[in-house]
Amino acid sequence: MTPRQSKAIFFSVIVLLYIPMTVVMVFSFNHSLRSLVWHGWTWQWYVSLWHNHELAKVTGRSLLLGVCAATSAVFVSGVAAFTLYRYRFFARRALSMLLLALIVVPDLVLAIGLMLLFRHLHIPFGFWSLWLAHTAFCVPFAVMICSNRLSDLNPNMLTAAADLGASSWQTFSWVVLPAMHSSLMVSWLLSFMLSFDDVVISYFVSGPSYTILPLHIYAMARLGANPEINALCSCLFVLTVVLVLVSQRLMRRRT
Amino acid sequence: MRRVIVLLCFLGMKAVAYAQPVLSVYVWSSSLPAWTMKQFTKETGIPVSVSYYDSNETLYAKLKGNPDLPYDVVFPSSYFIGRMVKAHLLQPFNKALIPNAAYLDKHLLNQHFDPGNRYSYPFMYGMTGIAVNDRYVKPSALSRWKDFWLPRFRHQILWLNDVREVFSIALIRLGYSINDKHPEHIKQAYELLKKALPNVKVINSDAMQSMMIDEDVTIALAWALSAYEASLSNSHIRFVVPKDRFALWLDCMAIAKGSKHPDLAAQFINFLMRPDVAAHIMRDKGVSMGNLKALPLLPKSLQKNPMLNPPPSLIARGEIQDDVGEARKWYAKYWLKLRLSVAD
Repeated sequence: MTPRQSKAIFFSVIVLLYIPMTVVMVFSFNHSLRSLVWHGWTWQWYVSLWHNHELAKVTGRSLLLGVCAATSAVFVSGVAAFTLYRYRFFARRALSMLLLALIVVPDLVLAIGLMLLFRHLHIPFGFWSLWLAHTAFCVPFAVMICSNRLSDLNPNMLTAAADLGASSWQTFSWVVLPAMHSSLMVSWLLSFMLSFDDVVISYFVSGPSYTILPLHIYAMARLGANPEINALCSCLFVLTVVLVLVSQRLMRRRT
Repeated sequence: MRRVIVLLCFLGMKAVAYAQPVLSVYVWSSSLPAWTMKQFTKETGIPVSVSYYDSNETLYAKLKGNPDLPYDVVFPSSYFIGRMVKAHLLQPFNKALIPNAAYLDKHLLNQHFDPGNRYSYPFMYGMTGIAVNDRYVKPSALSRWKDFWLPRFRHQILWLNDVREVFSIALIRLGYSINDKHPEHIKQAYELLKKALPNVKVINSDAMQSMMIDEDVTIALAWALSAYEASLSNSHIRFVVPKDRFALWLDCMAIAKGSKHPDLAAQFINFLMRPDVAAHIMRDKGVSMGNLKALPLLPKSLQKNPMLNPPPSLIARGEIQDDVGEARKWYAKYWLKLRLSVAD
């Protein structure tokens, strides 16, 4: 394959992947409520989106949940990744495999499992159940990112720190934490995005008092496309792109 | 630090435990105007928390998976009421709290899926008929369901992606009930529908409106409400109610088993039946509610529109969709066969 051919294929794949998103963005400016033919340019759907208080409330909840879930997931997985890196203990490899296997477990299985568990533990379905569930499915991804970063860390650094009289806490906060800093940020952003657009697991563990944006969009989109949805999806897409760019920048800075 | 976290958690739990009652409504997406909830809160001081679902199946799975979820008011369709009652997902009304039920059209009450309306009251309903673009097809050319089989409409018709709606056409033509459970009758309906397939251009529910508006299809099996909405964007779209029987869909109001305050739920249901509230919903959503006291409050044009407010003589020809129980698997099987033969 010549370089030109391979470049051509690469570009067409990118175009293909982004066509659906482009269609949504273009139609978010279409001056028609139901037609899928171009009827002229309008900002109207963005304006009505802005004035939709219910949507604003639900979006606020999703943001809050995303921040909480990402923060707790990063906290847990930072500790987990460090433990896996630093200490040797019984079934260490098996445990880390089990953790990473959660990445490939179908969402549906995890969702039903969590729902049954919460039911038996009498955890109220609402914010708390969503927080726990979102933390649970973000952790494996965050651990993977943090572990990758830690495996680059020279183990002699820890020995050197101990040699210079650092306590284990000092070693952690002055040596390990700075080394993990960027990977923690990246896992936070990834967890936030995972939590922000999850439908399957949220459907099973949400309750009447707390509904979140992805579930809202899903129900709205299924009952007839609404240009407001297109506008909202375009905004979310832009938000996602910004977050990805930020995390890319962070990833690059570490090297 | 740890103490702070514990304290925060404690405060959070406490806030949850001592909060004033909140009415939880689980409803079809975009079928309740936001005004309704705001007005209810204004009058009673009780906040309403709304979540949305997209299909009866979503609602059923959610409640079946966890019957203790404290949803208060839910809106299942007629053919899910029986199933939900059997699965103990609903609780009976305290009818003394719902005096406004007296305003409802008798034709929609006391159906066999819920005799005596112990668990459900009708909320919205609509007819299934035929949407026609009069620039291409004379509406009078489609006066009966059998016209769906006319060879001249080859490759022109849209079917809703809804097994019950499509089978209803054939069952009506065969002279059976649209809720027929006999496997042999369902098979006959399937054989008949197969003969109508050459006329089918597409099977789709979500895009029905846009395809009619953009004139990609000119004839569609359609719900009156969707046809009405589409006609606002393309005035050539007409809605025909066949001279035979036809199917009526009916969404109901019910109280979920897990409801912690069934009295509030009944109060909300009663509120939705109040003539001024019902009229507001009908005006806002362009939907029929079968609330006889609300009708005179509507603008004349809506009152007279047979798509939205069909006269009782028309309603009498309608047959309300009901649960088909175990026969569901036959419908599903033949529906799959039909869908597969469309691809050929």
